[in-house]
Amino acid sequence: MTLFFFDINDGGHAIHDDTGTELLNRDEARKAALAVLAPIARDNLPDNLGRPVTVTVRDGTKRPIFRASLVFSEGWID
Amino acid sequence: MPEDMERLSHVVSDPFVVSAREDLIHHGANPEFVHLVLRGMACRYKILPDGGRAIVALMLPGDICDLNIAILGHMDHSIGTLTDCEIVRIPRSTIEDLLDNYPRIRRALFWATLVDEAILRQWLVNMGRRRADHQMAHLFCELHMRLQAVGQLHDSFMPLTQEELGDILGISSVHAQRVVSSLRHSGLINVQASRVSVMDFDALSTFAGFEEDYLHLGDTGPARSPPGAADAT
Repeated sequence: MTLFFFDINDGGHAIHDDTGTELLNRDEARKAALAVLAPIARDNLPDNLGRPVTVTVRDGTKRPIFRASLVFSEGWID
Repeated sequence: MPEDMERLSHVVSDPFVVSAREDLIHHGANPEFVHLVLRGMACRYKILPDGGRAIVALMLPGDICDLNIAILGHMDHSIGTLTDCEIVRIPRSTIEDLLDNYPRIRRALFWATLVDEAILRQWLVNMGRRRADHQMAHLFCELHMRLQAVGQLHDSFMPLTQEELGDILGISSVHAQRVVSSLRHSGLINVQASRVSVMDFDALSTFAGFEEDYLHLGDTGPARSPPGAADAT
């Protein structure tokens, strides 16, 4: 198991993860990062719709290794 | 009642210590004992097909873990410790004796079972219909009240890791970590070494929309007799 850190910026405020989460490998860390985007974006509804939710994964040495974002796109069409 | 107290002190007279993260009973087992928590925190959980764990109840000091087996037979879930625990093992025959011969204890056990069910109902509502931050705040309010009710709110710290919180709330560990951070950022809770304390209970309960009625902490007393009925106590 390896320690990974997940910094999350939901458009409202940024959270720097100093606790970390133990995961099997980088691929599991990527999956965990992707899986957390939608629930956090949903928690924010209907605020902060225009701003992306971004998660940055850092490895055990605190070096960023992966980043993913989710952004809602919306607008009246009539 | 003195005879009830005497019987109960005999029942809890031989506790043993179990380390954190040990199973007390496995899913499918057909145990001859019911477990009672005297100290620490245990949980009722199920393992999912993908290997994940869903925690569906927390047992605190004074809580019986598995009264189910006294009636239902085999376990349809597992029970494990979260922290170091002091546990009492009560033989099935003792439970039957308590149910058959001690009406006030029977009533108390029935009460405990109904409250367990009420808590489960509340968790179901929270999991399905509340945002994760409100859900987690609600859990902390509940634990705060339950620990306080049994005089175990030591420094008001609750020993729960982000992984355990995720398994309780049905969210990922990373999501749990993010929610803990945001509650801490808002000044509602404090976190030290995977232990959570409530900083401002009133603010936290307002944030969570917490109403304690489902815990039934105030109505543990004797039966309320219907008008005209003989004294049921």
